[in-house]
Amino acid sequence: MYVEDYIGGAGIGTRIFWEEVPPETRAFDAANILMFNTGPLTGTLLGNKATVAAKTPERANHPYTFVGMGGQIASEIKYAGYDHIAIKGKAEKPVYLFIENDRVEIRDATHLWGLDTHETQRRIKEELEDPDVQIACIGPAGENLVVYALILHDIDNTASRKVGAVMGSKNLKAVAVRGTKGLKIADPKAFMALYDEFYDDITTGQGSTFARVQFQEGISRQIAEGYQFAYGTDIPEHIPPSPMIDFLKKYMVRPSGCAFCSFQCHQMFSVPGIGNGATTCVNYLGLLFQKMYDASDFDLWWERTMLANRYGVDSLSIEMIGGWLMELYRRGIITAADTDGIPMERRSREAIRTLIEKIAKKEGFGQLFTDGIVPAAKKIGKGSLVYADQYDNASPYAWADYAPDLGPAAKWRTGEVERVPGFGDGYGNIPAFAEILGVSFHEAKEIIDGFCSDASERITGDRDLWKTPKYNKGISRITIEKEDEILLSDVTGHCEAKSSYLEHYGLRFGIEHYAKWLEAATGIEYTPEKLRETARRIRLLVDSYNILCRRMIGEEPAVGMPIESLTILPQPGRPKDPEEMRKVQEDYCTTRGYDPETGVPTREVLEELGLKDVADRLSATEGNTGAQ
Amino acid sequence: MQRIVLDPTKCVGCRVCEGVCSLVNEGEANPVKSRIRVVRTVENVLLYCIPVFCQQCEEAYCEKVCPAHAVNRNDNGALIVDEERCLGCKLCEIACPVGAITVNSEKHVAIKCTQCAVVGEPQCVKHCYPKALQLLPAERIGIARARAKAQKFLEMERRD
Repeated sequence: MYVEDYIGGAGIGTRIFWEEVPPETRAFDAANILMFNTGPLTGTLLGNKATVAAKTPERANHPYTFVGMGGQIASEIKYAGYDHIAIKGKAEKPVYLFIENDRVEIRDATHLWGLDTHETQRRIKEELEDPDVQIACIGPAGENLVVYALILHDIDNTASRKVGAVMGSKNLKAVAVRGTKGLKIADPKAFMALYDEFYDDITTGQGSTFARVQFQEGISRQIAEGYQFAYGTDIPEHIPPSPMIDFLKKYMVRPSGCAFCSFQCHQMFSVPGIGNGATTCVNYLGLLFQKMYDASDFDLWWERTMLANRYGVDSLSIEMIGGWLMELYRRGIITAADTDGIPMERRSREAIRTLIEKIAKKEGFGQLFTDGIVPAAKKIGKGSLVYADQYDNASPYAWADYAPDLGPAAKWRTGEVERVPGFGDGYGNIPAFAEILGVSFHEAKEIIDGFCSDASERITGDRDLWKTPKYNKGISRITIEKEDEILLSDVTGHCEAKSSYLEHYGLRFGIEHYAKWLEAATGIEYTPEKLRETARRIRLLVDSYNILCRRMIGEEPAVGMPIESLTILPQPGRPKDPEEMRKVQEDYCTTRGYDPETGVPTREVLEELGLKDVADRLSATEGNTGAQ
Repeated sequence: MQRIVLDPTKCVGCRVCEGVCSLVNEGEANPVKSRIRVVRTVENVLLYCIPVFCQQCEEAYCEKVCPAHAVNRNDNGALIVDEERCLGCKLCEIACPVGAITVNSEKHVAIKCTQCAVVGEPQCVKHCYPKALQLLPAERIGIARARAKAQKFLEMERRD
């Protein structure tokens, strides 16, 4: 029944969560589940993604969230014979979970407690005498229940959205998996033919070439340039190369990406005097914020990236907190005496190092930040919260995140359309793209615009809609399409970074292809319509569950910055008007079948997708404002 | 006669070779049944990858040591295990200087690279996008390797 309605991955994972975890559960309760999901394509040539799910501790009412994690471990879980690993309860003392095919052991981890994420993995491999065991673990931050702690696997593949502390609350230091059973493919020949079609496009297609430029160095370059070349700006034909290029050339070793991926967006760096590690382009956002250091200070950027991974905290949360402290210091709201004698000077290596270490180890002033930025502001007082970039105690960069109720959620989501997928955000890379293709600057720009127009036409029926800075109905349609696409990648196990989720980069493999791939892999018939319907069902279930969390726990979100001022990529020509945002939110709710006033899914749409039990639970709790 | 040639400095460790090998030769997604294995080593937070696969030795110990005469060379020079004849005795596993032949615990016979005799073209080479693996006529391999090394000197000497 689950396979029929939820396919797999985060889909079935969410249904299990709905059945097993009462919505009033708090993130650190033993009843919370930490779940590793794999999809039907995970472990094949067309999938390598795991999602890690839990009720998470950072935001009000502890919303249920799942986050993607790449690397090798998702496939290894699959080869060991599991689709999902669900961890409930709480160990009395530190343990780690070891799975080798049918053998499952809970082993002592007292000797690993306190170790960083890389040393933990090294020691477990040594102890198990198997260098090929795949490990996901927490660092000191997760152990100390820092609410933005991450789970890290191999060289810096992370599940970075707040799940690390849940692992820590269970006294679970690591999950180590070894699988040798492999996967049967229902129709190997058909699957190989489909893979070949994908492989050819992903290695030599124009869109993939552009996406590769974007991922492997381009996004970093554009961010270092402050995204100054976006749609609507006058783009000079000679874009000066960013100083980031020198840094990349010198210190980028090679990719260290996920299993069975010929895209390799995950790059290893070795920076003398600072250290080794790896990152995807997401981390480059720190350079854009420029909160702790200048956009050209790549050494400091790398230092914070590497330390955050080693100690196991989300680096962009560190960016927000560190930037906030530095702003408070600059304004004289805090002094060095408030931060254990270390002045929170912007651009200070010592400040950044100390901050990350003390937060993760829960030492000295680091203890202020265990529960996030809003509780810290309450302790510091003096009007300090005003300077924090936060919404509901989270940093304003949440990609595909889930908010506890639909009012803010829809705003977050639709707001993202103006930031991510940021159609036309790749202009800074036109010269590099033109060089690779051997075409002129103008031809390259036309190709990139073509990708955006094609995507815009497919989703909204209007080729030029993506160029419109003002309110239009297309925004919510693009949002919903992108949400469904990324959700289906969480369900199938195919990574969204090489899917039509990034159609504006020219990547064309999406829902239509998932249907064929799933059928060849599993032998079960799938259609794009069925996949879209499944995505809607899962989305409804996630949102309904989080509404129940809100009703049962009843906390008010700590509203911070006005929602319309949350920005991640400043896109010229796209001002955010609160009235327009409200209209987008309304469109979104109407299209999804939610009440535009309350953001609650209607009974009609729930029943249409076979979720009568969900509608009943929502009706039964209507008007409920928490246990207090 | 053609051989699969490795340039380990180009390998990024993506393991696509393992994926296509097991799919084409065994109909499975299963690295354990792949005839090419990427050995991944993590040291000081950096990953090093070396693909290991049969070199189709000129004097092949697997062929020589096999008591069942199950290992024979085909027209392309690839050493092929006759699964009907294979006893699963593992002598070939012990004898192989490369570590590229194993007795599979499910099939109970030795499996090794056939240069994809089933489809006529080595799929690992075809799907190696960084070109760490290449298929070359045996007599061209020497100059190809020499050229790759010479390239480094060329880069030193080259003038604009």
